[in-house]
Amino acid sequence: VLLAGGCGGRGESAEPGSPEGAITGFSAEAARVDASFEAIHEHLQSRSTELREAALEHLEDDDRNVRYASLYALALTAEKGESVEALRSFLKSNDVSERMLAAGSLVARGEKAAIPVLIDALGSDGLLDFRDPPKPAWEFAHLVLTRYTGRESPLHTPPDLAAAVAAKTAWESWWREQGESLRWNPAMRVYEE
Amino acid sequence: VSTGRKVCLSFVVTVAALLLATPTAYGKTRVSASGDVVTITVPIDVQLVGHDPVTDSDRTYFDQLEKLTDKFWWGDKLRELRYRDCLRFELVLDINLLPDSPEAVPRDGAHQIEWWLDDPNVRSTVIDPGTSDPTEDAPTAFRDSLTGQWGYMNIRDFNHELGHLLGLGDDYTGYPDSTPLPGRDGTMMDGGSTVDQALMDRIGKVIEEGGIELPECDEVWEGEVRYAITGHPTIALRFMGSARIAVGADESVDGSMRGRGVVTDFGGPHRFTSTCDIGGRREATSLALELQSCTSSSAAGGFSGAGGSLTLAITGTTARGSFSSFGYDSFEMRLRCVSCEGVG
Repeated sequence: VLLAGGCGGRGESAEPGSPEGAITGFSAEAARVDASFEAIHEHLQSRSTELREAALEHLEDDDRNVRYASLYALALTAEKGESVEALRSFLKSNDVSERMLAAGSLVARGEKAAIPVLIDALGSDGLLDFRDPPKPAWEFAHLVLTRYTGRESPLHTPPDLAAAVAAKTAWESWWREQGESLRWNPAMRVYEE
Repeated sequence: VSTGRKVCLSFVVTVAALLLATPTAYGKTRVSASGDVVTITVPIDVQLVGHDPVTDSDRTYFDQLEKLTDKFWWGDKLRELRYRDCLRFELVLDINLLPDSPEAVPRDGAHQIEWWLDDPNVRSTVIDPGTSDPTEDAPTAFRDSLTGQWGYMNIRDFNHELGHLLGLGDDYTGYPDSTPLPGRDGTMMDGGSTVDQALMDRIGKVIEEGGIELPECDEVWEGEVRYAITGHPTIALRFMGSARIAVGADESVDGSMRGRGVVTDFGGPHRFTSTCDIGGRREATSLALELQSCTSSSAAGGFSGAGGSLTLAITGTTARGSFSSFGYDSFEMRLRCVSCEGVG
């Protein structure tokens, strides 16, 4: 996405603020949404613990956008323990955007329970919230599955929905046959059969 | 009917003046020009988040990314199109990998991207302080180095983000659910991979809005040609084709004409195809064109004329002997200017 700048517009620089402020101040308004993401990103490296704690605190916020920001921040900062447990609960969410945020994060942290959730999403053409460029669930699922199973480089041209759907059966068979024996290689950040 | 045909013709086409220049300019995304080739160099410093040091594997990956982008994505797609119907854009990626270390030294003037190569959830963003509308094209990338954060992405998404470093805005709008702008569904700056003429034109326009002067184009004229010999006692000929003519900065004329026809003589009808080179020069208010050489699949001959009133002479050789004709011919060339500054 192009994060625009300028006074009062979409590119209005987010106040440095606190990690919690980055979550509770998250806005979906076109003029502010990118600044909202930037505010979260600013804390990813320097204040990730605070960001994670704030995310956990606001997962059940009344405001849909704050809930999204919380889950997004949690997905980027999760560590073994409470935050990973919290993410697991979102694997069963009715909202495909929430499922994909949780699954993408967990699968990258060696939590293979997320894999069948991603495989299931190969048949979903629902657009994920806030992605840039716009991304349907099946495409995200394909990207993540192939990345963390070492099956395909992201340099390959992404498939279309029909190809992803066609591949879903093969992925399901693979999961049935290999799922139990799959091992996470943390050094390579990939699942090995 | 033998092959090989030689034809000469002059006639008048009204044109206007043409301004030409071949400037060179540099920005952060840099632009230089040589002839009708405009080279756009995008310098990107990529800080690989979580990678210290940068590994050979990282370098191999980015080498491949650069090559594939050139061969199949922006690079290839831009080469297939023309800006102002004449300029070709050549894209050069200049990616410099930096480790996730405070000691990493970014290059002055390069775009600065934090790339979370291991996290598929990080939402990719390019920060453009020059516009408040994310769908608006802006020349900022050609004036200043931009910053951004990118997540793990496929090559298509990389090319989308690269589009922002070429000054392009998004072709979609609306959050959290996005919809394409009218007529822009599936473009590279939406969620697809189409690079159409509109994107090409937008890049050229934003470069020029950035104060970078691009070369003026040759005038390019194109249209249809109709040629006939009627009323001649021994031969009839009809030819239909198309012509494309460029008028250069030195007022020289260069072009070609090609088409299909049928010539009928004592031996009956013979179908032929013909291709001719067109030369000539610009005059004060007109173009004087000359068909310098033609190759034909079945006839040979020549004709010449001057001004708007053509006096045509056809000579040719067929299987039954030579022939020539005067005063039986009509020639019509309807051209329109497709790339002319100030020419109606």
